Amino acid sequence: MTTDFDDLLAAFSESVSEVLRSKCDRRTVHGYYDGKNDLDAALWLTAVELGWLGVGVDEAAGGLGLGVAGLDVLHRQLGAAAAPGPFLSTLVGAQWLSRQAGSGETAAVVQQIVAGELTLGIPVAPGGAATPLRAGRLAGTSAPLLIPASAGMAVIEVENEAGRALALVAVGEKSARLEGIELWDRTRRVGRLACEGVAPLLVVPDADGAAGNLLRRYFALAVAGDCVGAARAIAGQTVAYLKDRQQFGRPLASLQALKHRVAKMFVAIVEAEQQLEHAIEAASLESPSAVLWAFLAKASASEAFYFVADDCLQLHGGVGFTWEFDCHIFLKRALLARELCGDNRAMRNLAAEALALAAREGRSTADIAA
Amino acid sequence: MTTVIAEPAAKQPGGHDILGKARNPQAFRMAARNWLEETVAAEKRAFPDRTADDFYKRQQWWMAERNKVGMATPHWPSAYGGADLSLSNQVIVAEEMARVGAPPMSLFTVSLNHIPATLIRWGTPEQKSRHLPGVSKGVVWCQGFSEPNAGSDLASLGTRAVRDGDHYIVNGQKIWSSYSMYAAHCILLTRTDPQASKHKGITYFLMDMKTPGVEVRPLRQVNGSAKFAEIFLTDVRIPVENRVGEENQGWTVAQTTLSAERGILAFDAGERLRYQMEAFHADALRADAAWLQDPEMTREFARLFAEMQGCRRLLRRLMRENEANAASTLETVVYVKVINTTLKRKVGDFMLRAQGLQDQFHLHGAEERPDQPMNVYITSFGGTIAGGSNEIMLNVLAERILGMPKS
Ligand SMILES: Cc1cc2nc3c(=O)[nH]c(=O)nc-3n(C[C@H](O)[C@H](O)[C@H](O)COP(=O)(O)OP(=O)(O)OC[C@H]3O[C@@H](n4cnc5c(N)ncnc54)[C@H](O)[C@@H]3O)c2cc1C
Repeated sequence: MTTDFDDLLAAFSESVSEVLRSKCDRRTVHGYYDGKNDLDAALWLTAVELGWLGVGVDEAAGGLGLGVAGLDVLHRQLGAAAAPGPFLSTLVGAQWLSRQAGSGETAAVVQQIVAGELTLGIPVAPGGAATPLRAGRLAGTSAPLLIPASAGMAVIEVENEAGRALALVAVGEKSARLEGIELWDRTRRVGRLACEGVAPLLVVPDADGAAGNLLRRYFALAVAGDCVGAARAIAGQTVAYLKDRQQFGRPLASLQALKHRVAKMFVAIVEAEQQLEHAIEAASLESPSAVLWAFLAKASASEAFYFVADDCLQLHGGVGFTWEFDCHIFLKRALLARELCGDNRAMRNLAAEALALAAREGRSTADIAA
Repeated sequence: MTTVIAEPAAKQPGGHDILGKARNPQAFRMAARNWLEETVAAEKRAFPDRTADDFYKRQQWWMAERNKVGMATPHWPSAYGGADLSLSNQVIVAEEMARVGAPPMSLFTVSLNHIPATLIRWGTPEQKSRHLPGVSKGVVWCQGFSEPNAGSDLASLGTRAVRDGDHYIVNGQKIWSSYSMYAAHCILLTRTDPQASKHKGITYFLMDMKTPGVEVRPLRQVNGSAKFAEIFLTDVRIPVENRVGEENQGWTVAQTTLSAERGILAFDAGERLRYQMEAFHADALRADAAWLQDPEMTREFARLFAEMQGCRRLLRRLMRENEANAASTLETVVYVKVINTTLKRKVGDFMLRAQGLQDQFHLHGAEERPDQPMNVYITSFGGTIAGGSNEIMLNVLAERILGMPKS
């Protein structure tokens, strides 16, 4: 029962995958890891040229019109390729900005992003410490941001007399200064912004938490997509390795103990994928439970990715323990993913609160659109 | 090439025209809901304390109520007394049944699913006209496949059938046959050619449980109720016309039977789990249950709730693929089987921990209350063991879907 829309998504997915197979193959990713190439910048350029950044933007506005589902496809493929680059933070930030209506400036910023002229940073774990904002000026350094070295702007959490807010700040010599933090996962970039005295370009009040939740909802979906794509990729690679590797005069893949471990990885992946699909649908329909399902999907997807990546390393034996092999790259991405957008305890605490609230109001959160 | 052997299900005059609204999903849903709410309330009045003793009566009562409004076998083709109910409407019915907590059709599992699947595909016209109309009137069938020495390795079964003129003479033993103590008929797998390789010497029969030489001995299950049994077969004479398919073709026929377990049955279980979880949560909130103050527990509940929802989506995918006969169906079946049955265990375990000591107290008749946490938990093993154990499912996933070589 495929629809035209499903066909479009599948075609987009296949074309992204094909491009990534050639431009972001494992060897190139390893090279990037060791500082021997600029894969992050090269991929960004490719994405701009091929119009990937506009996948969620309406066709009328020059995008591909594939919405949240289209972005999900992109994140899954980027995850499968262990792709570096400013994708996560920039795409999530752009989605969020495009919903801050009433300001012509934000529309212009989003256009700049889609045109490839601007990349963004966002908080690694929204809901954490906020930077004081006094008389329109920031006082202090931001909490850690997921932020590319090239970032021209960042969304940070601030606090003023009226309470919490989100602020868009310019990054650069004359404004907020980026202080990078080295990560174990070298495919992603994190840093803090020293914003002493800087005036934000935009302040979105968030006393009721709605604006922050929207940012987190997009972030959670993006991370979840990245995780299930990555988990499928490294699990598939492990199956291929076990079929190939001979010990005791037969392929390791013929050993039942290993078959069951691999099969359980795929079970975990399918469970996470289904939860993500539900969250995507809830987001597409702007369901009142959309935030709840996004948080739960993120927690499940990053846990599934961790479960898979951890065992894949073990199943590769000595080869898996080497820097030259792919397993550690995926495993470190999985470990970071557990923390992105907020750790999974926080994700589920928020979800549990939302579930209890809905139940008290006599609302079911579990309806599935026909 | 189907012969019409029954009238299409009657559109009921008695206030509840459900099938007549089949073209309009919303009207269909509301009609089903109204009927179900009324009927389930009547069931509660008729059987206030649901005991093991009135299980059979309750199930028959429920089947009769369904039959009154044409809802006994609406998913069957109209040529066989069904109403050609579309898949989306079957889903609506299952959703609504779960919503009101209607009795599951346990006693009739084989009658409603395995029998039509097998006979429509393989039965002779006489077998179809003799057996299919009985189902909506409450005729109970059981499945005699497993044996003490043939469980996961079903094809190694040893119950012998030897041709004797226009009969076969059957000797052997079956086991774990659900509801067979109530059954009028049995679908039976036997060995007819011990020399052939194990899949090639099997023959499939329809057996009248009243035939001399058939003896049923109930076995008590983990929760205390006796819902399956051993079947001893001593010189049982089965007429040749009760054979399904050719001699030694039984394995192929059995595959059709087993495929009937793939669709709406699992779907029904998934839908019921949703309402069980929602009710459990709502009750806890009302009672200010202690576990709600423990963030570890509320997080776990949230995680299980997401798993439940993911599973329901997977079940919907299975239904769509089943209808389209999609190549991916086997893959989805395996995932559904493992995920759905494991989840029930996890939820049962969670409920038991949440309720603590209180749920270790065995209340009278607890085994007849499927929502009771101990029952959710302990009967979940039935799901993970039967119908191809989950270990076998993982083998299938690794070998047939991931292409890993046989051990
Ligand atoms: C509630 C319930 C209802 C049932 N109803 C019916 C019915 O109506 N009719 C009927 O015919 N049968 C019925 N059965 C029987 C059911 O089909 C069998 O129990 C099932 O096929 C498993 O067979 P077994 O019990 O002999 O276990 P075994 O095959 O002995 O398995 C024991 C354990 O070993 C594992 N195992 C076995 N083989 C392998 C392998 N190759 N690789 C890895 N692990 C393996 C199994 O997973 C299991 O954990 C029912 C069973 C239950 C629990």
